Amino acid sequence: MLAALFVSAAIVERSSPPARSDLATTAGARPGRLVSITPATTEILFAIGAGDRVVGVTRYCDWPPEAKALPRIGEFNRPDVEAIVALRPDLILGTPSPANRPAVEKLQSLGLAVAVHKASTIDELKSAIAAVGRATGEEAGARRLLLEITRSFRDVAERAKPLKRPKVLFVVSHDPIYAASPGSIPGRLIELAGGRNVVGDSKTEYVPFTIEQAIAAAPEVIIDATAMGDVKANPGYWARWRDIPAVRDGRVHAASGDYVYLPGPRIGRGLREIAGLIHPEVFVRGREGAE
Amino acid sequence: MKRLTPAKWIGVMAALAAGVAAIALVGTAVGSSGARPWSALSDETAFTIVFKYRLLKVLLAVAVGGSLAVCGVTFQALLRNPLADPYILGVSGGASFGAMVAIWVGLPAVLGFPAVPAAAFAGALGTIFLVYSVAGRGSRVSPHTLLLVGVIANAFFAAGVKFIWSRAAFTKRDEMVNWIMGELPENISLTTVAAFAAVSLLGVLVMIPRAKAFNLMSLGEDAASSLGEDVERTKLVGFFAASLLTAAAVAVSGPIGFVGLVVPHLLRLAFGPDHRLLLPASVLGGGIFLALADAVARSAPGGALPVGVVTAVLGCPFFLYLLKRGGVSG
Amino acid sequence: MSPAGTRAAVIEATGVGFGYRAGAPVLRGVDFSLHAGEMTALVGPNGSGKSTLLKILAGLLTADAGAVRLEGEELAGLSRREVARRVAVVPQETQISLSFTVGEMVLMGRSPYIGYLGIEARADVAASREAMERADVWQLRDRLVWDLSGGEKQRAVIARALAQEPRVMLLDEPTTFLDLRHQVEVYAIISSLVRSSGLAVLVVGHDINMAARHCDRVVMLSGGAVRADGAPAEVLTPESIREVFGLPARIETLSDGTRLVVHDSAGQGPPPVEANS
Repeated sequence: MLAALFVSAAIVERSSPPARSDLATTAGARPGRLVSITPATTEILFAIGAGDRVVGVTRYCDWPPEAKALPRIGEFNRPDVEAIVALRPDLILGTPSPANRPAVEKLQSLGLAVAVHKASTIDELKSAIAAVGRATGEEAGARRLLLEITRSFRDVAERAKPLKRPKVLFVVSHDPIYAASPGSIPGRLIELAGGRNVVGDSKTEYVPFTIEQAIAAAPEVIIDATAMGDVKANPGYWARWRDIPAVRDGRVHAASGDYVYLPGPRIGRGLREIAGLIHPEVFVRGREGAE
Repeated sequence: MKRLTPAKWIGVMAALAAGVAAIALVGTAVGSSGARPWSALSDETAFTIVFKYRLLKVLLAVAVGGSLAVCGVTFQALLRNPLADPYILGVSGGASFGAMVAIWVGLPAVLGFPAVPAAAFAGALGTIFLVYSVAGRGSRVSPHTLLLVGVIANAFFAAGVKFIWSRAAFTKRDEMVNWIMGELPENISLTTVAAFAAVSLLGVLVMIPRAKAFNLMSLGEDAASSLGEDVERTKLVGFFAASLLTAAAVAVSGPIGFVGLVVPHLLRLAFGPDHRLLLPASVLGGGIFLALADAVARSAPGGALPVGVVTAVLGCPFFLYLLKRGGVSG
Repeated sequence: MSPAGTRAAVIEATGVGFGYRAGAPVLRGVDFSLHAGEMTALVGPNGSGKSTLLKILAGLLTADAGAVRLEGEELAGLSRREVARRVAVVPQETQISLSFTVGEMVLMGRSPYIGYLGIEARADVAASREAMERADVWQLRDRLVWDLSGGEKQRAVIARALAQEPRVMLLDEPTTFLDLRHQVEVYAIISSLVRSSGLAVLVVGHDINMAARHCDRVVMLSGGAVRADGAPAEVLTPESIREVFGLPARIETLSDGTRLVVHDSAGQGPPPVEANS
């Protein structure tokens, strides 16, 4: 009986031939149907002008607002292979991570065109934007975006250079607390914005941090990015520790969005926001409208 | 006099085989997109989804589920313990630890084998070896001691896993948690499925002929011995085969729970404890169970769930129901 | 020591020694035999090595010294299956871990005759039925073993042992957990089996009086050595009982001729303590 089962299974298996490339249309100069498997990539696509061709995004892609209406094709690190294939994409884009690699490989083995670009540092982000522009035929849009970012960075860096550098702590989670080290994106932004990161150099981008270390480090500004995009900070979390200068002086701020520390097209805005928090006297920080 | 007859055997196995065919059909018909098998004949995209993705998942689910169930039966028989599951002797702990290390350190592929499953398998093997050397005395293995050492091994490795979690970079945790939840890999290839099925078949072929011996074990080791069974050999072969097969299953799909624990009981309740039927039946029954869970997981509204969550959600209430009915042990 | 060999010796142990740990022997130089058609009782205080000797005779343990012969052949040289076709063991207690029926369990007694895959022949089913009828459990055949009372379970296990069609049956304290009625039943069944089929039976136990009533021969074991071996009347004397069990006793004879061993509590001082390893 078992044998019968195995035989029937084998017959079915044999009827499923190895991967053919017929699903992939050659991703030509302007691939018509785009799927993004990473929120940062979704943002880039919209920012360079390819947004109208995007047909599927992950559940976490909520920027720009138009993206929220698009069909969902899985989580941030678990792209849904079936859903993606069903959308018949011409090109699938995203940033590579070990978690989404199996899905990426599967999609490739099914003959679909996949382009992943690393974007975990600011330099990588810039290359990724350029590469996405080339892949989607929006080179002009990509150039514009890159110019904008570069200008923001230069502008902030220049104005911040002569200023005194307050000590800054940038936090991305509570319980346990993880703080941004100089090698991370917020770490670099802090530096560019004229601040001094209290966290020392580290091999990892985010390091575990305790309240005790925070008290000892005595930052003058705390930027708390735990409330991912939700404007209301959790002032209560730090309020007890009045020994910390930042708490005492009321300089604990919530980052207004995750673009402040995740790599994406809004990084320029992120830099300006951080600059505004560190040097409010020079950089006017307001709720900036749509770029 | 009630007993297992060839007629009953054929009847049950045929029914279960039909069940596997049915669940295979269901499994290829549902998923997170609306693709249906009948449209696969006309539409290329649907064909790809149904045959190159869903079908592979279903086949792997059947193979993994069947493996876990037959290992569960074996452990329950040899340990004479209805609460035994295939992970009880430390396999899941060791495999998890191996996988976590591989993810943490970022091991590259070894000789073409993807790093994480290879590390998981190595971890499982190491643990098996460790547990047996501690618990075995010469060639005699005491089930009681084995159980204790296995529990401790699992606890130890669970602590090791948590240690790695606390030290690992923020960004690696996702992948680690994903693995531990247990799921049939996305990047399934025909090769993976065939390779695992072959391993599984091997293990199953070693265990199934021991059915008579397993029956006798229920009378107690001395009684089984006095009835002519080589108890020590049966235990040795049974434990090793089941441990290795479990290790392979965990390496492929992470520690998927409940299949190995619940399916044997369900089948015993339905068809009786005779291992000559139970062993082969569990291969099919376990396959049906996991394939069903996988189908549910893939078509869950709101996005695919890890299959380990579904097996628990399906398995726990069933198990409690069984306990209430008193069918688990006397 | 043993009665003149009017009956064939089915099992013969000579000079058997055994210890679970080195330097702590449980049996020393035991000479012992069982004969066809004879019921033998093996009695002795706790720790005297009775159960150990039973296991050695059953082939479950291997003697460190001496030899055991089964129908003339060396026990150690026989395969387990071969031994199982000739020697059946009824343990003190059976804890079955699965929901098998009595019929299924008795059928397992045919295991030494059944092939590797375990497919029973019609003859096996017939033999099981006969065994169940003789042990008076045929009516229980579809009941689950773990639902049975102590006595029913014991009889079912005896049926299983009978299904092995053995020449020797070894019973380890078969009546310890049974109430009086069941004790009587079990002994009755065994006695009739011994008479009718020439089985060689060994009953290991504490109950001296039961042993005396039903057994043809009594062997007293203490400190790992045989102290006495013979007909109950010869062996069970106040002196031997005091020596082996450390208790003063006397023998009372009832009106029907039954001899009872009774503890003599009429104060003869503290009993000499029997030190066993």
